[in-house]
Amino acid sequence: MKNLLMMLPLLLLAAGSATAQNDGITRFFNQYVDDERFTVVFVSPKMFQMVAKIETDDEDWNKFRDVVKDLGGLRVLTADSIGNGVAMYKDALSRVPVGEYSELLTVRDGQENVRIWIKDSGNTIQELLLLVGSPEEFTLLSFTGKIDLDKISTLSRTLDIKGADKLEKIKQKN
Amino acid sequence: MTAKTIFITALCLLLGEARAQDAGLYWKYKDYDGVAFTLPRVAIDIASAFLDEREDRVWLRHINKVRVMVFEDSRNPVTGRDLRRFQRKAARRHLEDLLMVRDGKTHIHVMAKERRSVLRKVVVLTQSPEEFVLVTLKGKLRWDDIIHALKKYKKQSKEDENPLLPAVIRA
Repeated sequence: MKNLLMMLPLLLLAAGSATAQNDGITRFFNQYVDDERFTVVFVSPKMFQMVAKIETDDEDWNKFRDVVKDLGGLRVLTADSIGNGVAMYKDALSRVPVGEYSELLTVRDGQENVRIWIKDSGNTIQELLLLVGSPEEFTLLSFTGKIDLDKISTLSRTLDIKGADKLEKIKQKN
Repeated sequence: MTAKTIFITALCLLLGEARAQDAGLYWKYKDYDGVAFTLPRVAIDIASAFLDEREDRVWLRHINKVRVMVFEDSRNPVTGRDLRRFQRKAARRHLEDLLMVRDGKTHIHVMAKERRSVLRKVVVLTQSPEEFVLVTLKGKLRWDDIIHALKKYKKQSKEDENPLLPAVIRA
């Protein structure tokens, strides 16, 4: 009983830290979710579960289903003519809990910055975070679930979302 | 007397809560200048009798109620406050967000209620400065029904040369 009481504060601390992991990025997302300069896309885990259950003989659909079946959720925040894309990129960058993620890719091409982080547990990638910032554009994209990097790069061709094409760089890197 | 008053008040509150979500929005705005109608089970059953294929008839009979409300040409009377209340109540009544897209002033919201792998309710809400569309579908839709609808749409889209996946998804 005494041990249990001693463990309790530790457990509470651990739980607090687990929920704080992604809070910075979630707060950043929520800050701009109603801003009309941005396009916002949110696909819930439930939607991916539903898509995974639907089997048809349509080749395009099955290809898409195969890519998204293990995904847990998708959030996209993107803007293409905001004027302060680099400042926003830096702001978002400062909110990424660096200790929780491993950096997968960094590209700076002129004034365009691209960064991709992943959060893994063992051999499984649980979260992928993409940040793109240039003077005119900004994109924040977050995938959760069981992520296969090859499939995610395929998804970059599948999704017609600004900034998603940067996921193609993952394949180029591999 | 006091117990009776409390009981009646509680009953009224419960009934109010039961008519929440989309129904509340529908009943509040259905008489405004726009299109608003509810197709009850009977109408759907009658309509299904006119379908040629048996599969289509069976599929349609899994739908219990369809409710549609459309306001066009910037005559949308639905207030932001009512929409926020609708969303709050929807969450309380286990209507889960499936998809949300906002592009400028255009919002698309798809919500669904699922129980034991059966879709009980689907709500699609589209809002832009020009129009407002609320579509609610109640029933017992199984995955087979959705696959059937997709196949049907695919067949139709091939005839019309439209792709199965929406434009945002290029396969």
